[in-house]
Amino acid sequence: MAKKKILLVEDDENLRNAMAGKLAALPLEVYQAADGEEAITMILNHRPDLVLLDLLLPKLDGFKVLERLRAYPDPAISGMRVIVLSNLWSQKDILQVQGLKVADYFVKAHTKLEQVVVRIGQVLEFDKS
Amino acid sequence: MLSNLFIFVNNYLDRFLVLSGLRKGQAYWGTVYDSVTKQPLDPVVVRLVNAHTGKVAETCITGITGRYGFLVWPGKFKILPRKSNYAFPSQKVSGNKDGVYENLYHGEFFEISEDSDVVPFNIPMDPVNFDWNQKAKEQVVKFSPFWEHLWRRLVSLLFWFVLILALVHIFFSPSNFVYAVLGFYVAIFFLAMVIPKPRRWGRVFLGSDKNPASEGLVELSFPLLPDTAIAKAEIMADGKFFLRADPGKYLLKISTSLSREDKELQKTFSIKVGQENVINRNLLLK
Repeated sequence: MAKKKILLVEDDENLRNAMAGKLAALPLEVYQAADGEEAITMILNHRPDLVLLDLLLPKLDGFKVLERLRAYPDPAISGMRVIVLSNLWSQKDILQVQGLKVADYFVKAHTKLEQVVVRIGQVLEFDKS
Repeated sequence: MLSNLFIFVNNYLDRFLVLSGLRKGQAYWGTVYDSVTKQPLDPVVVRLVNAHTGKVAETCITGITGRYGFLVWPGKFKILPRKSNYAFPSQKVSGNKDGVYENLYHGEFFEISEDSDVVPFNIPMDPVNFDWNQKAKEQVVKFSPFWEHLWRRLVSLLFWFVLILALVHIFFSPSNFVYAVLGFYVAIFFLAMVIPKPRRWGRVFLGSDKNPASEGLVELSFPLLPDTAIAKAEIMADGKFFLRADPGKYLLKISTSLSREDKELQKTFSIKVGQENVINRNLLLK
């Protein structure tokens, strides 16, 4: 059975690698993107089962990445599952992101990476396809 | 609860004593910062390493204001911060203060010797390459370490200036007003000696018998978004937890199980976080 795919979108290389290291515990194929435009390209090329998305990104921020995904004509792209992992945590930011239908929102500074991995495992196990 | 009323009053009194310069400010958290610009750094992956085992005891990531915190049991530890484009330990800043931050950390071992407590060091890191995130968040985080430092200095100077003025007036033109001002200062000096520093952590008790909850999860959310936890902390065996938050009103949910799948909600509190930016009150489940 093919491994599920996850795309990590995070501009900080150190954190991206730390997160990838944690995800090694799950049976996943991990892709990485360092900015919003690269994220869109990787999504279209690899069709991940889940995207772990930062919001403050070079070239195209996470909000715009989400907007573009949700507006895409292909339902496999527009309905793609996204978990946000960001240090932005105002009510305004969370409401804006929730309006774009994310599976969850984690604040980096207040969340252990292990908790994010648990949530990723839950989201991917619920995939019935 | 009387203990929470004391904590509330104590927080405000401490803030006044620190502003006046009568008491050294206590850090409720540590800050990782750029040794050159003094701006806070994020995201920094901060690891707390147990000196005896060499293993990572805790890991956290700094927030947009560079803050981090660990609530740990007594022991010997060291901290390893890592961030892309930055180097540690700092070669540009040495010593225990740098004009903006105090209680600086440079990679040495340290001990938490008494009860479980929060690790409060400020950590300078040297810039090595351009960091896009640091540049981008200037639009999001308005922090001027120079003006912060200056503001505190001005308040402290004013405090001492008024005292000196009152003492001079006592000799040359004493009045009831001057006596009242000096009485106020006597009261403040007394308080500075007797009231304890506010604590840096919150505590969950099972009931009024003060048995601490020994396992569980504390989750913070906005009242309008109760299902989105913006901060989480595990409850330690002594009932303590460490949660940072910006000033504001929140919901605080306490669950008795560490597993999200088995979460059994015990109680939700409406709380207000003050300028101390941590939750340091007692919470009773029953």
